[in-house]
Amino acid sequence: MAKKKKKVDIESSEMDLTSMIDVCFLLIAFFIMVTEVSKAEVVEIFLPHASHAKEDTDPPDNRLIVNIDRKGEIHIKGQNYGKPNNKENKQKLEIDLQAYSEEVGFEEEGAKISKLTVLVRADAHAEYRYVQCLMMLLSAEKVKVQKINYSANNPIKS
Amino acid sequence: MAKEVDQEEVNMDMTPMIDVVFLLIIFFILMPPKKMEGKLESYLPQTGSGAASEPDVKFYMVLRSVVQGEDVITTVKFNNKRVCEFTTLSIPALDAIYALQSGPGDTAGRRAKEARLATEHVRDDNQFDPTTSEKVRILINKMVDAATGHEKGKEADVMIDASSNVPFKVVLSILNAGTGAGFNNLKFAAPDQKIWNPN
Repeated sequence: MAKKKKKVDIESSEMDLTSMIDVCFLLIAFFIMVTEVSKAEVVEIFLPHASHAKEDTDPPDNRLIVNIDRKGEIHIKGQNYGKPNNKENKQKLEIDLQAYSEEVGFEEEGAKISKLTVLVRADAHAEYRYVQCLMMLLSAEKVKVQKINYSANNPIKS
Repeated sequence: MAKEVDQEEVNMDMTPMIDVVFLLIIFFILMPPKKMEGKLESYLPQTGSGAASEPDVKFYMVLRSVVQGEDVITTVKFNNKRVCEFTTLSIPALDAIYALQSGPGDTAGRRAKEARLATEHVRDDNQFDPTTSEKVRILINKMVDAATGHEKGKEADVMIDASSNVPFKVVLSILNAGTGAGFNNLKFAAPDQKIWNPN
């Protein structure tokens, strides 16, 4: 009787392990996919077409993605800042952009230039004034971003 | 005894299969649809202290927009010579298209909206794509001609100066044309820089 009980114990412990590994794999796959999706920091935007857009291979780690929707509202890292030509929104953006720029650091060669690169995903139908506002903020004395990339869909390569 | 073992084996077979199926379901639900999203490179003008403040720009691309009914007409001038005009939808006309979809559940509205946007996109591709648009080809030729007569060639700065009411896609198509022409230093003018000659 005692012998039989021992056998059952071993069997049940083996069974536990398999399902646990399965669940673990499921969780790993789930979290990998979720982080992959959130990394894009993407707001739904109708990107313009550009046939000469280069493929976005190995982007730098310290790249900031700025989304501008059709109405001109700016989204960074999931936060909606509203239209940049509003005074309050502008101040909030100014502070946060400065923080992002300082986090990455500056190149100390003559003119002070930030190492931060910015990818702008602006909607095709947005007015240029909002993009212009953003560029003004990015080139401000305390932010000093120089390199700016614009996202576009490439109709040829898709 | 033999019967018991058989039953156990059958049970063991099903579990991993179900697990794998769940894994695949989750994978395909979460996988974002693949789209070729590319980028165009450009630079911001560096004003203020330092060597970069020297204005050595040689080429100017000026864009100005006028609203005419449902359309926005954007005139493109290269080095103060008018090159071409682009026609796009005005903001009220676009708002009307977006208003076709009354809510997230309105599938008929969404289809109507997407259909209108698709026709708009076809018109844009005909205007802005260098492979199909005569206007863009002329623009690129003018840029290349100007660069061959210049000491710096295609390394020379091209300053893009657009007024605030220009639709963004027109600005981007100019950036696209400049990249296609082979220019490496495409820059944007600050709005207060007075380089626009109204005549």
